Amino acid sequence: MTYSQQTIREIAEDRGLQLDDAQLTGVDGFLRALSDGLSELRAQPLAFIGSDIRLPTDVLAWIEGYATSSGESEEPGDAS
Amino acid sequence: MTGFASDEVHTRTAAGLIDAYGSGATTPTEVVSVLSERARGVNELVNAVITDCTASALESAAESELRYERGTQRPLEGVPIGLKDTIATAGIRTTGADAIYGDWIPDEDATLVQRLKDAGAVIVAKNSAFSFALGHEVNTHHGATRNPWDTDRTTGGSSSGSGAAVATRQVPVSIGSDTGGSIRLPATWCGVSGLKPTFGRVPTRGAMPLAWSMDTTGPLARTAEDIALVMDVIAGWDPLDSTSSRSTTGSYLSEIGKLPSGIRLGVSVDWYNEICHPEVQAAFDDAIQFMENNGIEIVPVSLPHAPMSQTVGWVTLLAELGSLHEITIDRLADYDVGFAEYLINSQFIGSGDYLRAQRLRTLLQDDYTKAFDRVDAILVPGNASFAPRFDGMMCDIGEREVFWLEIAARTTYSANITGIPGLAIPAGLGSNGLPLGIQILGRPFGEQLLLQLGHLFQTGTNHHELQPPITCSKAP
Repeated sequence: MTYSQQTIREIAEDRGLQLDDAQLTGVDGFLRALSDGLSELRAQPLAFIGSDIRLPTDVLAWIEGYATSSGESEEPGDAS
Repeated sequence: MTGFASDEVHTRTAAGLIDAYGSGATTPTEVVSVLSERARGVNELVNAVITDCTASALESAAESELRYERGTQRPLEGVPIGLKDTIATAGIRTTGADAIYGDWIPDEDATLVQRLKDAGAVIVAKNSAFSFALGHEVNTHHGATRNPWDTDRTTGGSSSGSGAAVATRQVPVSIGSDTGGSIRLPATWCGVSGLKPTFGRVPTRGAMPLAWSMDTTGPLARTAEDIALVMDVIAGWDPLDSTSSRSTTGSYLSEIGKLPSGIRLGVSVDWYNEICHPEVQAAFDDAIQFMENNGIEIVPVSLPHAPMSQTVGWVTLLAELGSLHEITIDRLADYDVGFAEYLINSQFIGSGDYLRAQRLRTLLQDDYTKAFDRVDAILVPGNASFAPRFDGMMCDIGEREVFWLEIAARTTYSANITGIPGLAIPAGLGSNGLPLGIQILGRPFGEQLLLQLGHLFQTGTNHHELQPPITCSKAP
C-alpha cells in the first residue's frame, strides 16, 4: 500500500505536521521503499487460533527462559 | 614516561594500559593527556566527538594515579573511555546528537556510566552519533562523522563516533547503543569489535531510548578481550531499569580463553548470504575455515523468517520512536533533518502493522530456538558490503549497487528483534582497503561464548590490529 503525496500531506496535517516539499518527497520515498516489505508482512500467514498468538511479554519471556533453562547455566557444546 | 614512548600510548588496548599502569610504565594522567591531544588532531578529520571531557578526565586520572600508588586500583582504573552522546552523564552535556535536548545537562549518570566510574574508568569524551541513534549519516547539528579508512565515506551508525574513535585509537573503548545494528555496523565498517548484548543484559537506564523493546547498550573496542573487561563491569541487573534482567552475569574476562570443546557453529543456509559482496563472502568463508581448523564443528542452520527481519525491525522501531517523540513532534524543525524524516514516517505505521510485527518476532524467536537446539552460536557476515561514500550512499554488493539502508541492518536486525547477543569482529580488508567483518550470534545471555569465539579468532588472526591510514599520516 502506498499513499499519494496529497494523502501523505493530509495525514501529516491531521497530525499537526506541515511538511515542506523535501520532507514530503522523503516520506514518499521511504514509504515506497517499505511498501514491498509491508505487503510481505501483511501476507504472512498468522493463525486465528495458534502458536503465534502470544502476549507481547512473551518476547521477553523467551529471552529470560534461556537464563534459567539453557543460557549461562548450560555448558556450551551440550547442544544435541 | 618510563616504560614506553608517548607515540606508543594509543596502540595499547584497555587491558594493555592496565598492565602498563600496574608496572609503572605509564600513568593515567600521561595517557589521558596524550590521547586527548591525539583526539584533537584526528577529530579535525573524522569528527568523532561532540563534547571533549579532558578537563574532568584529568581530575579522574589523577585520582586513578593515587590509587595505583596506594595499591587500591579498581578493575578499569585509569582506562580512558568514550560514551555515545545519547548516554546520560551527570554534569556533562548530553545532547542525543540533536538540538531538541542539545543543552541538557543530566543530574545523574546512566547506570552503566556510574558502574564505569565506580570501576575507575575515566570518561574522556562524549562521542558523536546519528541523531537520537537513528538520524542520517550527515548530522544536521554536528556534521558527518567520517570513516578513518576513507574520509569520503560514512562510518555507518548510529554509534558513528564510537566506531571512529576506537578505530583511530583515541580511546581503547567507547560505549554505544544498538537498536537495529548501531554498535555492530560502525564496528564492522571501521574495523573494530563491537558487542550488542542480550536485551536486558546491560542496563539502559539513562540512555536515550529509540525503540524500548529493542534498545541495548554495549562496548566497542579493538579486541574481544577488552569487551570482556568492560562487560564484567557494566553487565548485570539494575533494580531501577524495568527491562534489566535479573539473571546472573558471566565472568567474561577470566573465562575468555577457556573455550569449551565440542562447540557447534551454525552457518545460515538461506538468506543471510544471498546478498553479499564477493570479498565479504570470501572473508566469511575464511572465517569458517579458521573455526573448523580450530576444532569447531560447522553446522548448516535454517532461519525461515529471517527475510522478514528488516520490515519487522523498521515497523517496530518507527512505531516506538513515534510514541517516544510524540511529546516534541511539534518542534519538528528543531530536529536533525534525517531524524525528522523518520519521525514523520512513524506517523504512517498503523497499529495493525505494529502488532503483526510483534507476532512475527515470536516466530523468529522460534526459528532461533530450533537453530540453538542444534548449534551453540551462528556465524553471519558483519555487513553485506563496505562503507559507502557520502555522495550517493550506495553499497557495492558485487554485481550491482544498492542504497545503503537496504542492507545496513540486513545482518543485524534479527538480533534486536529476538533479543539475542551479537559480536561483530574485523575480518580483514577488501581490495579497496576498507574493513569488512563477521558477526557471531548467540543464545540469550550467551555473551561469554561469543567473546570466547571472538578471542579465539583474534588470537589466530591480526585483522583487529590493522590501523586506518589516517592514524599514520594525520595524527600527532
